[in-house]
Amino acid sequence: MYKLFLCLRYLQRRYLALIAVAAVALCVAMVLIVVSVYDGFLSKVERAAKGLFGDIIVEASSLSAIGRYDEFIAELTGECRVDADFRLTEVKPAGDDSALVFLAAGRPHHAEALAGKLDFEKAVTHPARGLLYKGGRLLGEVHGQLVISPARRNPETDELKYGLRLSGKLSKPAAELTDPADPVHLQAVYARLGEGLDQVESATPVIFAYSLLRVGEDFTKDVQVYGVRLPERAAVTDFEAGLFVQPGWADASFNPPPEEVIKQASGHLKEVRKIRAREEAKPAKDQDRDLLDRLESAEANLNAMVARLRSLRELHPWQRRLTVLRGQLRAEQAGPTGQSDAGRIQALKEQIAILDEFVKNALEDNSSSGIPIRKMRMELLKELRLAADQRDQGKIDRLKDDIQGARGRLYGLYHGRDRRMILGLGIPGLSFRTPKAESVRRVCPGWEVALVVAPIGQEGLSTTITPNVRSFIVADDAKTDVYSIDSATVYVPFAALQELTDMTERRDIDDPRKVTPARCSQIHVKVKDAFASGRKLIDARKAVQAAWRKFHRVHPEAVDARWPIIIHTWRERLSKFIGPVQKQRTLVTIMFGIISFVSVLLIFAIFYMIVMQKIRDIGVVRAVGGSAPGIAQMFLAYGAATGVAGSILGLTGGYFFVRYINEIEDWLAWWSGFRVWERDVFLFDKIPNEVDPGVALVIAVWAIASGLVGALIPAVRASVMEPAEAIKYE
Amino acid sequence: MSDVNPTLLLMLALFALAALIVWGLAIYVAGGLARRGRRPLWRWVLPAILPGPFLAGAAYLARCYRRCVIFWTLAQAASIAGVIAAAVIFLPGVLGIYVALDLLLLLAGLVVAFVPVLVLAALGPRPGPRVEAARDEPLIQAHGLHKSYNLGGRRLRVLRGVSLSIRRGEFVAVFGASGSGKSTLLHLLGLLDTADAGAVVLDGADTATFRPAERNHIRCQEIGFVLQFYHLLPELNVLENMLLPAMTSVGAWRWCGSRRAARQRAREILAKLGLADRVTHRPRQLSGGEQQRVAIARALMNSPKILLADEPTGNLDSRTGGQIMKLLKQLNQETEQTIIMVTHDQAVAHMATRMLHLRDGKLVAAGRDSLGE
Repeated sequence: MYKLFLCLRYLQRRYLALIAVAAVALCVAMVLIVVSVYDGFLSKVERAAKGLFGDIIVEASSLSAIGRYDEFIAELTGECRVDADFRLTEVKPAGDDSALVFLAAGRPHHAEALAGKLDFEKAVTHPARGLLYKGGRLLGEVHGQLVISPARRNPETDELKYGLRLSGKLSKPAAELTDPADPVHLQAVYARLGEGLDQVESATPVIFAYSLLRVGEDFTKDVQVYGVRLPERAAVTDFEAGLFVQPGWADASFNPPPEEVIKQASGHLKEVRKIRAREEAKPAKDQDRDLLDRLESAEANLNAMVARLRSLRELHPWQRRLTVLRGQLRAEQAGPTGQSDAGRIQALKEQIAILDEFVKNALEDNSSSGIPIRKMRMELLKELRLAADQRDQGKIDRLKDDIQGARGRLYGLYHGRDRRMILGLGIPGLSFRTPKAESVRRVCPGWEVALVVAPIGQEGLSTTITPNVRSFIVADDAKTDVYSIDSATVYVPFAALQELTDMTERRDIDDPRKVTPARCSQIHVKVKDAFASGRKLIDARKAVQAAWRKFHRVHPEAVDARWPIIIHTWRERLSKFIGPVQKQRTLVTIMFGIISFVSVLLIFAIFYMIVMQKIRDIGVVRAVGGSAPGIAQMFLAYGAATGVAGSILGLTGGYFFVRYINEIEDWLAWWSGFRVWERDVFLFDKIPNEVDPGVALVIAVWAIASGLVGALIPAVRASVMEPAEAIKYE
Repeated sequence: MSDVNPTLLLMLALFALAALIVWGLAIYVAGGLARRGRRPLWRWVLPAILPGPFLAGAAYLARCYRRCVIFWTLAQAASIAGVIAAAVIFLPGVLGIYVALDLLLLLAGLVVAFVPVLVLAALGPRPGPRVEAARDEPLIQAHGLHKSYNLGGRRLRVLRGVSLSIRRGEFVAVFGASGSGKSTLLHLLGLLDTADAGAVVLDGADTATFRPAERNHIRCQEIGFVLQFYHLLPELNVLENMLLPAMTSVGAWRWCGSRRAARQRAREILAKLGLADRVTHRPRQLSGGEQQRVAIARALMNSPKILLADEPTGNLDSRTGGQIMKLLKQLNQETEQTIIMVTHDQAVAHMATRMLHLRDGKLVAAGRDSLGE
């Protein structure tokens, strides 16, 4: 007991040892901060890479090289996306669920891919699923069969047409699908052709191009354009996590519900007002006039846009007309079934008018023959009411068509599906950051912009290349935390960019067998979690490579042999960037480790001094019966306790420093004007501020062990002293 | 391997480096101690050359505690086996894995070595049975004690054959000039030191046969020391200084049970010596006389058979010194406490019941007293 007691008492009273504790704490904190920031940076790079292009990337050195991408993706995932204009043709209730039938005019290239060849006699069937969207959100998935019927040549236009029919079940009530006020549309259909690779979870093609972005009359910026498929992309990367209007929505699309757009836009407007009020509340000499000007113009823009979005919903003439038409339809549908006859109604009205005359005359004549006439009149009136109340089916059909038309116009303005764009948050001029790192948007969803795209898919070298221009409406904005991407990227629907860059399929009119397939720039692949790292990821990449080689042999037209396909993992792609950072981390850790060794020597020196100071007391303890190993154990425990105290202090201090490192850096920049973390250089907005508990534990163990190591020799020295000598020591 | 955090491996490597350096120093220290002739070199160095660096130090400390020899052997075996396994299984990446395994072995060795040590320490020492001599036999005897020191290369012979015999209840004063070896004699009698030749017989048992643990135990339970400079621990208050002998005899586990009884006894003794109001004071807040009284109280804590006093009044003025001597006499007369005192002050020596004269390393009878052989 005396060992424990004395050890604790010395820890409290011997202030010299506190220096050792402080030294250990400092070293622990130092190593923890350095290792955390580096590790955090590398893990941020990993997350950003996976957010940008999934786990494995299939690309070629040319931007327009990869063809037959949907079929190759079918090799990887087992599902092939069917690119055709499906229309909802029939809805039948089936119990609680509903059965649906779609019909589509198929385009040849998909039919032959799905059927296996161009000319086939018998219909081919594949299991398939379709994604139904309603009001901007995913309604559900239709699971059923896709039937591909053989080609029929249209005698008039001489066009080859296939029939693609998807019929399946959806577990939603039929009424939801047939509500004309809010129709559904089919976002995508996937046909299951096989099992795919074990390691692959999902894949999506991407088109990558450079273009000019034009906003308003005078703003032009060069941007990278990504043509992506939503929500497919959300399954491969975590694109949806950084969206503004649809944050984290797994069913994010290019057409968010208008209510959400208005909600987020007005929410942002309120934020901007708050920021402006905060800046104006400062005393005049502290105000940043430049910032206030920018905030004012952003607020004006947002105000105008929110008002416009609202007015589009509420007061737009088409919306008004739609409301009126809907009212009429409801009224018409409320009556009992039957066929209303305008002629009969007219005849009844005339009869009633004649009887009315009779009744009037009879009242004047006071003749008793008025009563049977009145009875007749009442019956006729009843009949008239019945006739008038009956639903006019013709009118109902006409109203439905009118409503469809009005909706079409309205949604054409709102929901031109191929004309939506998602901006990267951070394009200079379209948004900016306040000194407190808040993002302020000057262009919000609803804004109209234009893209000027070079048709990189055009064949042949031409001396005159005319760029394709198309207008888009901003639907959302996306933030990936990687500054170089966010400040120069916009996203548009895959099909839209394919058209703009002239990378769609081209088929010889006379011989449909001669085909240049539609192309894309890259294919992003996500692997299942079990294969997501290390050796297993490399094996997955090898499997994808093998699948590609096999595919290429069967489809040599998929890619031009001149431009080889490169398939690599995200880590290999970023190796040039990660490698130096990892080496830096190793080097800095070694340096700090060597410096930390100084703390061991410091503990040694301090403990040696303490032992020298306590020689007489050691003698006393020996004299009252303490043993030699007991003395050694006491000092070793003292050393370990120093390590424990130092590591607790150091870990706490280091943890809080790392946690609030961005605030500290902001304060430092404000105080000294010196910004340590340059966004452009270090890629991310914020310094990584997470502490890995495993690393903290290792550092703590190391600190305790260093206390033991430092105290070892002094402890042994204390224990081997002869008690008689010790007592006599002065 | 590419996914294993290289930082971790690096820190392990750094630690192994540090451990290697300390290991080297430990061997050097061991060698130095062996050269001083306290133990044969191989007993020091053999643990130090174990494959697991630093396990040596841990194993040595375990070995010090004799009951842990078996654990020491296990630790050695584990260390060797581990390194062989590492080399065999992980031949390609042997460097990185060896470092990691080294640390593991090191920690395992520390745990394996220290856990039983700590457990046994918590329980407290258990010495062997003691034989009590008959009441009229001498309590402590010395036969021809020789002791010499190394002083700058020359041997200084301090005691040249000292023999004495002391019975229970005697108050003996050993009187001699400064440097005549009286402190040395006291230390030999109190088992703080071992004689070059001769024997100290305590209660009929030859102390040369005692193992270190037994000697510690006797010093704790049966001998009380009072020293010239009081030798109170400055960080502890009076009560805690008193409790030190009680804490030495039990481990942390048993202390919980016996704490209250020990405190009670301490307060009683302090009250008897007139220090009841000084219980929470630190030594620096007490006068010389009070500190010496605390030292005496501490020496009496475990009811020792012998009280050894080395110049108890040497640092006090004559009045306070007289008080202390009166106290000692009172102890001897009332409780039959055997007291052996050494002093250079003849007046003080005369206050004892028996006086022995130490001159030129030999005891000579002085006046009315005999050597009591």
